[in-house]
Amino acid sequence: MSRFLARRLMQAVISVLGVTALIFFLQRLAGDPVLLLVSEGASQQAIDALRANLGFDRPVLVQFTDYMSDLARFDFGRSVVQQVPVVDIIGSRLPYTIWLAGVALLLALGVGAPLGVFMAMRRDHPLSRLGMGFVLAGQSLPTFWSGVLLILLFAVTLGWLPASGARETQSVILPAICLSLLSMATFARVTRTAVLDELSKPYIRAARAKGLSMGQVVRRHALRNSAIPVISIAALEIANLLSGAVIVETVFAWPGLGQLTIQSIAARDFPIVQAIVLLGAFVSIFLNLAADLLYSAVDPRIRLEGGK
Amino acid sequence: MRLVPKTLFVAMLAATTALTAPSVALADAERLVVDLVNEPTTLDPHLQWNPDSYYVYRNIFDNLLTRDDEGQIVPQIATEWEQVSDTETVFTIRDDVLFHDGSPLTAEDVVFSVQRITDPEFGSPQLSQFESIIDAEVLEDGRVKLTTATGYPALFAQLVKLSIVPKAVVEDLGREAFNLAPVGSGPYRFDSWQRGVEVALVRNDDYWGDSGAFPAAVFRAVPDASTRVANLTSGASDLVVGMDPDLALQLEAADGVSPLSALTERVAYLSVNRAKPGLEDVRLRRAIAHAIDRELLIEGLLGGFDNPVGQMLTPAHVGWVEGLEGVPYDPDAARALIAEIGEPATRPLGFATSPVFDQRIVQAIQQMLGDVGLTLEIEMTDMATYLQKSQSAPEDAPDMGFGRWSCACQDADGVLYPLLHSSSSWSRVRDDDLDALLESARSEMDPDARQALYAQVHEWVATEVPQVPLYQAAILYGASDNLDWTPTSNESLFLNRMGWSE
Repeated sequence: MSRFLARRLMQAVISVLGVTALIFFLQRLAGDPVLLLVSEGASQQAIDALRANLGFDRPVLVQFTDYMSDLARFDFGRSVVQQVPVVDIIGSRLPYTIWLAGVALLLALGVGAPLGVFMAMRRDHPLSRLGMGFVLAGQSLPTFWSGVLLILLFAVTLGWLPASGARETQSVILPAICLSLLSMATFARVTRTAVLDELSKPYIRAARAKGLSMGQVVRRHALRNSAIPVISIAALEIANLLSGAVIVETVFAWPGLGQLTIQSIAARDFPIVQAIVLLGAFVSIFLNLAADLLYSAVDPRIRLEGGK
Repeated sequence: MRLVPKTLFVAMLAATTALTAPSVALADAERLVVDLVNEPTTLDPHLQWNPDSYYVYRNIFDNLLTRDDEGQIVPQIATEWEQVSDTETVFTIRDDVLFHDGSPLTAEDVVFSVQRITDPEFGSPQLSQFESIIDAEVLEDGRVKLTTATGYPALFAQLVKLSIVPKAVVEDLGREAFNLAPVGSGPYRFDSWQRGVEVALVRNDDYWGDSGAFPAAVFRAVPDASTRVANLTSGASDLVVGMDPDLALQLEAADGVSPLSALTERVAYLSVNRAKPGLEDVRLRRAIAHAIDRELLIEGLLGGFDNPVGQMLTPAHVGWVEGLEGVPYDPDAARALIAEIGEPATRPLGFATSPVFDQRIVQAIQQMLGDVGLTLEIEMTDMATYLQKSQSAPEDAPDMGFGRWSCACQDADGVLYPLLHSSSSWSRVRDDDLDALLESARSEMDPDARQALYAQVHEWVATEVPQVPLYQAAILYGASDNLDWTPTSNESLFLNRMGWSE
């Protein structure tokens, strides 16, 4: 177990360093943000002055070594556009993304998984067919479109919920529903398949023969065994929710990292983009590790390499 | 084992019910809500140059001069000014202005503001607009003298954007803290900034002038245009920016809201690079200009809000010459010229653009030039790359490009000098006679003589066709019918010039 962890951590450090260097040089290949910042028709002297002020006049390798040595001291630099430390900006945006993705995950699991179980148990029920229709729709509707529909219905026509922003507690509802649709459909589909798969196994027949009701069989036996694929999907879905937030946050003006990412890329705000990419690399590495550890917790047959 | 415990279900149910309780805070008479595209990047008025910051900070800070609703330059912090010589102007400063921290605004603050923004080490993105000022000093009688390197008639047009910051506060707080909690002397005080969400301002009731109708105002960041429309129509906001002609039509059809428009000082144009093969022939450049139907672009695609122009300026600029038609729309003349040129006109021409611009216009131009027998290949890149390409040497720059130029100064010098003078990195023109004309016009202090010089520049452009002027761009807003406001050419949202109509 500890050898497994140590190896995975080593891999993580190498990946993060690689990602950092890659994103640093890739961004600079495309130039710098100075021309986006100055006023139209700015003289060359004014452009050069700003470039020097922001440090983009130095050789790229010098910029990189400076950046890495700052990074080693956990100094992520300052936004070249907002002129504020990157840590402050990300710190103010990250909670919104976690809150949105968290609510969306709860919705997706809370609705998707029970729906999947229901669809597996009552395959021919009309509601199951409706459920399959929902799964298809959830997987094929683009969020920028379903988002606008949700706004039109709930904010404009009915006036129940705010269309945008994060001023009120209920502001999270529409973006969370919009963001959760795809994951909800995925959870429903995967759960349905997994439960169906379990239900066809001989031990279920034995349990039924013992006199247990269908509900008892599912609750006591099938669910636990169907959980493995759902857990591995959950780790992927969290990553999907975080990346899906890029569009949903823009549509609903939700002040999270997704919106910040789009704006920072367009504005070539390198220090922010770098920090977000680093954060993303950390999160996806951590999620994969967490999923691996969870497998063994749920299914004792799975042993991590290096364990007993 | 139960997969989801019952208590969790109950908790989720309770949470959902609590969250759906109706408490949508709508805009009210006490608070004006404005939806911008993005939040301001910084609120230090000297540290950025973008519309979303500009909309907000112009309400927090006063300027040395300002423009009234008719576009005339009028006093603000300076009550009067005297042109001592071609290069020296002396300004009398108001003595009844207080900053929001209660300290008085003095001539020292004015001089400090000029020195701060013109210091190359400070790195202001607006440096170029004030570069002509080489010295600022407080005179013994308490007035402020600004000295320019040469005669510079556009100085006043630039000074309407010079925000006055308090010297003591800026020096005390430092750059970062001032940026987060700016102190100005304007009709609105900075209240709070919820990052990524909104900036709140409150009315400065001690303002020396008219502080306006709204006790408070909120500028929110709403990047998606349809969401801004939804906010406006549902009553969650009073004013939204960044509308296009299609959304304006949608607003016309909705109850209680309307589109508002103003013709700006932004000129849309085609650049034609005389240094590229084939395009060095003036006949081909003229053919391109003849092929473009400005009226059709405006009526067919832009909803009729914009205004066709035949010179590289708009009627909102000093230097605009009434009655110049430019190269007229004449597709037959274009075809004849192209036939005359023959082979060299068959090379496909690159056409640089960026997603920032209306791509329907770009495609319509491609179509119009296609109709007379030319081939345009659209080269779409992000804005930063587009700007970089337009900064390269003429022989490396794209064959053609679409652009919308704003100097935010309403003066010909801010448009024609950077786009046509050979010393400017934005220009692909290299012509000594034209350079001389532009230099004289830049420093000519006599308005009539200056106008005559710019008429010659317009004539040169119409003959040589380094650019094809297209239209004076309109800016479109959406507003609640309760809001009483007339937008102006300078694209400012001055809160103290708005009110409720009831």
